[in-house]
Amino acid sequence: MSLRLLSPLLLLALTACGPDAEPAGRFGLALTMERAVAGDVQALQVAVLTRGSSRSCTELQRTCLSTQVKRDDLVVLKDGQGREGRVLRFPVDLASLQSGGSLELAVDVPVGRDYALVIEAITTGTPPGFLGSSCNYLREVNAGDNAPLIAAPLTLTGGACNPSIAP
Amino acid sequence: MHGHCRRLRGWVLLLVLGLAARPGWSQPFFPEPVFSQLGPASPAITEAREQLDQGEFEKARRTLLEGLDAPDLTDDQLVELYRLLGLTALYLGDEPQARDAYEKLLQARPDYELPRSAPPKLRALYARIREDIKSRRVRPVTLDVDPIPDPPGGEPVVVVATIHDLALGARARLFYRRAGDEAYSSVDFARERTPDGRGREQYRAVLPAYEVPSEPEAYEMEYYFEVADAAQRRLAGRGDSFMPLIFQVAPRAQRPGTAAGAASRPWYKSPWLWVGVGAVAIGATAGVVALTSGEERGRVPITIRVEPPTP
Repeated sequence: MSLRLLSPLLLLALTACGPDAEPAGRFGLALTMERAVAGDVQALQVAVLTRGSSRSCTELQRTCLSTQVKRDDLVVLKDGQGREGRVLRFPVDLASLQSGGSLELAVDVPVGRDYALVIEAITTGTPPGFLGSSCNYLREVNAGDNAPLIAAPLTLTGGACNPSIAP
Repeated sequence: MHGHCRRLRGWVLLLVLGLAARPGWSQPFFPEPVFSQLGPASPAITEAREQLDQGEFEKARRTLLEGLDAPDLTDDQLVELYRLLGLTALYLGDEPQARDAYEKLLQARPDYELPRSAPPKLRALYARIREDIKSRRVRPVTLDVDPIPDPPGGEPVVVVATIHDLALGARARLFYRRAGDEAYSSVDFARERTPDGRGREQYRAVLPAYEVPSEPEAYEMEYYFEVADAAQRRLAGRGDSFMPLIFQVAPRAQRPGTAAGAASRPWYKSPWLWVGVGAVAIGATAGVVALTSGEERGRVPITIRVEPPTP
């Protein structure tokens, strides 16, 4: 076969290549952070509460989660590196975020129903400071495919509380 | 000369016709829009505007509260009703009601600005409420409702709830289904307004009689309460679709509380027996699941971006 005949076929084969399919057992949580928060945030703290439907997200977002829930209300989470804890902290690359980049986190949650997922923006000084949080109801987490979610925006709340929770 | 006279006669005729024309003939072909057509139209809004113009503030307040009870109001109409109610309450010196109305207005239209011509007192109050909302001092929605007691069949089931700080555009609903069915149906809670239009806010939902018919055998209904905003985000609730509450509709012959019914019930229909069986089954299932599945996890990837700069 001549090269002239082969090249359109090659081109066709290449154009058929699309992005990879979404891996099973995942769903995305897209979260927008207010600029006022992005100016100061040093880490994001993720926690998942049981009995999500009995909780008021508006109330939970007012101040630190640590002052509002008991440790037993939080499920044990795992991150991609195998770290385990009732809350997981992820450092934030401020420069990348502010220049329009995005931060990708992954949290492994026990399969179950009726959760509330809370992401707190914090400073990591001594003591750590609370900037604001985003609270979202998770009706269920399956091992299979999960519907994508648009998270509540993370807005600046502030408050004199310590967001630390024992792992 | 002759032609000149004919032209002159033509101009005179036009002038005479113009002077003799009826006033109505001078109106344009397309009438100008009526002012009330420019905003969201509803009879209550039009009437309240007129009453406000005439200084009849108490009447305007009544009109607006009645207007808020009308079914199928659009968000624009609600915004206008709350705007006028806030203004009316302020003229009447009723700051709490003005505050309540403007809070609701701002929940629906966070970017709403008062016109520059608004009175300074109104502007000052409005600025304070905006500041409260910005610093999240506005109270969250609270739902206070009791579980439905086991009803007799064939009669409507009335549920009364107290809902505080229900955001504009949010709806409170009772979802229900017959146990075993897949889909839930729902009925809306409607406001039961108190005479002064504020205070504890009572809402009422009615489950129609045909949904809970009287049958020879008792049956169960699953239900839950939910307050959700316009984007269907749950703001408050009791029970949910996965863990609903349950009431039992009494069989036709037996009404709740009758001793004869309990005495004639065969042992295998005793609720306690089935509660026991259920508990054993749940325990066994949980044990099996715990043994077989270990700790199954689902991954939640989270993508975080900073909001784009405002132009």
